[in-house]
Amino acid sequence: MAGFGSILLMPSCVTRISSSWKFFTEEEASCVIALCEQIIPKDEHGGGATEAGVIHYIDRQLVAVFDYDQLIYQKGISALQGCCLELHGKRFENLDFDVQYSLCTEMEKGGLIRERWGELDQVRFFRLVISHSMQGFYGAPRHGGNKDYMSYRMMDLDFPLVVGRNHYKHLS
Amino acid sequence: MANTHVNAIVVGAGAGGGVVAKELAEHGLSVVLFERGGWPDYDKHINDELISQRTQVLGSAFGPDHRKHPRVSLRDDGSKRVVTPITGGYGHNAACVGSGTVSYGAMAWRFMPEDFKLKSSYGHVEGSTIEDWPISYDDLEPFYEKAEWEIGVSGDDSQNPFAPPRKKQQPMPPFENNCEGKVLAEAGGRLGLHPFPIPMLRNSVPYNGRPACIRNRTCVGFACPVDGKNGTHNTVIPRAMATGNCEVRTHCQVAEVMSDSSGRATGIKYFDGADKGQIQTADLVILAASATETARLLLNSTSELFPRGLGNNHDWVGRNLQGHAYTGAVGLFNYDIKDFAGPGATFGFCDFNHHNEGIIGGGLLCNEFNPMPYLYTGMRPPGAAQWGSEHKDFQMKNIKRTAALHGPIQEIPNFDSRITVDPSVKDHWGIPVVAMSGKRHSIDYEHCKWLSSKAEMILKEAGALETWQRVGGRGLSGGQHQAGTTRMGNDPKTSVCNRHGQVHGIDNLFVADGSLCVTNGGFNPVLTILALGYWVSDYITRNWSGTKFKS
Ligand SMILES: Cc1cc2nc3c(=O)[nH]c(=O)nc-3n(C[C@H](O)[C@H](O)[C@H](O)COP(=O)(O)OP(=O)(O)OC[C@H]3O[C@@H](n4cnc5c(N)ncnc54)[C@H](O)[C@@H]3O)c2cc1C
Ligand code: SF4
Repeated sequence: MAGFGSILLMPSCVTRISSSWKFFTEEEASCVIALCEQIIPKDEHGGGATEAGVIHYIDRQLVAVFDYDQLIYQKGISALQGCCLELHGKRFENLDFDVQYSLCTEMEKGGLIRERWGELDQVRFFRLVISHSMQGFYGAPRHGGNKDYMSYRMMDLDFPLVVGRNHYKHLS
Repeated sequence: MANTHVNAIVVGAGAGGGVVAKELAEHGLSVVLFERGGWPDYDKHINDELISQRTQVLGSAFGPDHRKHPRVSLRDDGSKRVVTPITGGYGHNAACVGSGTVSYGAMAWRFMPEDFKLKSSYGHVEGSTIEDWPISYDDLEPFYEKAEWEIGVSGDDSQNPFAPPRKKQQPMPPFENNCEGKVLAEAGGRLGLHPFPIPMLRNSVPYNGRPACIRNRTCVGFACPVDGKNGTHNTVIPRAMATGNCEVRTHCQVAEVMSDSSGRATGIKYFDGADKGQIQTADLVILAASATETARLLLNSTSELFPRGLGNNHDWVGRNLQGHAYTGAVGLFNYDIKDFAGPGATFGFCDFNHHNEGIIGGGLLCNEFNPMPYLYTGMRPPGAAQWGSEHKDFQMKNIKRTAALHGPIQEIPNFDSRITVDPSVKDHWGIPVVAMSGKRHSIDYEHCKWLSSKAEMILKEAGALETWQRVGGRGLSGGQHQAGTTRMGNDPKTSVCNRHGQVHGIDNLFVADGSLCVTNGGFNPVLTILALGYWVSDYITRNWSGTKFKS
């Protein structure tokens, strides 16, 4: 636990510099990408969070409007990884989709190893990632997610606004 | 250089303030209309759900700026939380020229005669400050009419058997029902209810030199791309400016009202767009900054005669904060019931406003404004998946198959639902901010359960495969329909303003916004606020002689 705690206190200051993300380290980003894909998976309707670029939305907002959520992401990812390593010996993003799914189901109920989360409420963390994923996937593309109005197409919503004048063809 | 003295200062260029500025300017008074926001700009926020006025996770399209305007939310246990427009729980309307009237859903209701006499119609309710208005529906009727014609309303009250009496029809014909509206209205009809088209502050035909609505998918929360939605920013405020008597001073945060040793108002202190402290003097000051911010301004304006804030010697400023608990039900259909023609809400029932056994007041039921995709991610039956493939599948399959009926319940006011100012939290300019506290009267929740059950019954009759209730009515009040914080009354000991909106004991200080409403009706409030703007202005202009105001 002690070693784990010190990682928490020094949230990857070193790796952050070489990261291609605005906020996340490469490792954190891989974890969040996998988590978002669980929240909005690819299915018969079309691509999921990964393809829609939800991670870009979250990464961008964490250094802008959501800067106050930075710590909860850092701690949450780290705690989740701690649980995955302890339970399965692998980081979250390297686990099978089904294993990830059951971990998320546990996290939603607050059922992942308590001690790993310290002060942080795992349910709150998961809910936060859920709302951010929904915003990234279903919100306007100009914020980084919903690539080419992917989700709008899946819902068969007219774009931009006027019913009966579907403008998607002009986009692609 | 000092600002030139003017006849009247109006604080807040929203619904009430816009009307007052125009009426006074047309009457020949020199007016400065102060607004903390700027002019609204449609192009900045096209169809962007995350920065709209309905969902504000990344900011408020039409203000206020979340970095400059914090507020405080006080919990029962005394602990406090600093809130902003993006954190939720902030309870605001907007901050720009036009305020909520730029991005609103534009429903244009007249309150019913009973709404002005709630106490004499129903008696006292334990734990409440239920009261009659000092004015009646008949007093306000001509001003409702003026609002309907000058701002522009489409509707046909003759289809609503519960509509209050009127002398003149609304100026534009009503909008047609959409697909969902037809199905639900017919179901209501089969149950013996009385559906009718919602009166709207939108153009069903070209009006006032602006085009008709083109019914795009998004409306509420956004400005209108064709300028077919009517607010004060595109009607009365331009008319005020056209008189040459009114200057609109935007990006100015008013801090307090100044008063002299006799207790009369002398002007205001404000911070201009460059954050520089300024003074503007005037013969009259009219506050129309919305129910939360008007109360804050009065509370922040202390003097020897008014140590607890102007008009607050009896501790009524900020009290009786009301809004509307929204309540209703949702139904899933096995076909595309939504055609997504804008704005979505098309028809309503007034069967549940008044004269229902055991219910005080009641509320309207309407079909909903089109939900945007992110908002819809939260529309799920109880127990449904909140994430994962099941959640996504629901979204894709049902967004067009979901219909909801809901409406605003008449809240029963109480003394402890209130606005105060926080002694320690300050805004960008160092001004103490609004603190919201208290909660709705417990009876509101009972009323909400009742109205939600009616909504569910209609959805079932309409053939919904699955229905669930969304019951509101608990917790903090206020919000987009905020009202009541400087209530009108004949007794200065139990109200803040008299029947003309004049602050008791200060003849040249007025309020002309939602703060005046004694009770808030079971209807969206804006037409009543616009009418109150005309009502207050009528009194001022009738009593204005030359350069002096005589009460
Ligand atoms: C998304 C949305 C949908 C709505 N839909 C409907 C609807 O369908 N029907 C309906 O009836 N109502 C609707 N409303 C509510 C309606 O807009 C309000 O009831 C109405 O605008 C309130 O009028 P007001 O004059 O009390 O305050 P406002 O219109 O809010 O005006 C207050 C103004 O004062 C300014 N101000 C505040 N403090 C200061 C200060 N210190 N210095 C300078 N300026 C200041 C504010 O920026 C604001 O512009 C909606 C509102 C929103 C946001
Ligand atoms: S539905 Fe669209 S076009 Fe019509 S008033 Fe609303 S924003 Fe304007």
